[in-house]
Amino acid sequence: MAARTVAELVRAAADGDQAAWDEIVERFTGLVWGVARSHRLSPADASDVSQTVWLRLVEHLGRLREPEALAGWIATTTRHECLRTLRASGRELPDEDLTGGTGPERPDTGPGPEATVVGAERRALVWEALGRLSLRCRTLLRALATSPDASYTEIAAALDMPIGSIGPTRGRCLQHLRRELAPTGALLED
Amino acid sequence: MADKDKVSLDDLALLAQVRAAIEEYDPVPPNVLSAARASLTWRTVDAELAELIEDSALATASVRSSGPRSLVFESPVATVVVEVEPKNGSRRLTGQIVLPRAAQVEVRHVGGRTDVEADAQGRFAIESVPAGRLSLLCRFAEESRDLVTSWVTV
Repeated sequence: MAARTVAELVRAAADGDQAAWDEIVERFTGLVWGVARSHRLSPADASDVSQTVWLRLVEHLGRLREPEALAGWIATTTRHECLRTLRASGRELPDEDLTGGTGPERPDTGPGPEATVVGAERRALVWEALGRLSLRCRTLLRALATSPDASYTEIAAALDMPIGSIGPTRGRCLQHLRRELAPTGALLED
Repeated sequence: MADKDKVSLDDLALLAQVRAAIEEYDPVPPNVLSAARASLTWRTVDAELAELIEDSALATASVRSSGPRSLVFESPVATVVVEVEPKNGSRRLTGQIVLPRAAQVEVRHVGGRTDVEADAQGRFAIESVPAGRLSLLCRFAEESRDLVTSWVTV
């Protein structure tokens, strides 16, 4: 049996089809979690946001104007819930998160530029480097990495960015990540 | 690179590294996944949706009052106003459906469901529901579609 399209899954879930709903959750749970965590919400707050987003989707299943653009709806709703959570707790996004800049300190125990790191160590360095990127870059790269199905249109909606700037921003964010990784020896390229 | 939107193999390799790092360091917790799957049980069939349009907890400090938190949900046919007061770690709810008419109100919350009757003026009160996410489902005695509010954390 051919895989169902997102719009078909939405229609089926709206009629109570649990298998269709599970498939929607499976496809987009990484996107929801990634957007929430990119906003530096704690795991507890990110869990809350995630659950709110899925409940909101349940009540909107039969009301989505463009069910095929579900990823965009999910990501936008997640972003709004993150901002609401931050506002309700009296926190605002730090400036660095809007402009790009500092993040957690890089551990100075890492290998030197000449070293080649492999496997687990490389994943650790990539994870740390990701944390040093701006909110925009973290969110964009996580979304691209975990939701290959999502289109630029949907990603743009999620990040509240013009669609035309997604390509260039993506290139810039990957460059930032490379710059962070180059001295650690974690880059796989070459 | 001629086309700045072009996805190079290097880019794909780097994104694959990002994915591997996320899977190791920040995967979706299993309980988040199972709660997401279970959410479909809260589906309502053919109910009018009343969206949250006002929340006093999100008002700016200058206009925030010190009284109970008030929430306003609105649909094209009705408005639901709910006041929330903390009470021994749980929440007391006082509400009014501005339709107004008698209704069965079902509060859907983290602990399950709590039922209460709204009088002919649409007024209702519930002494205690658990703190956390909740949504109200109003079923009217007269011929009228059910009304369900969006979820909100109290």
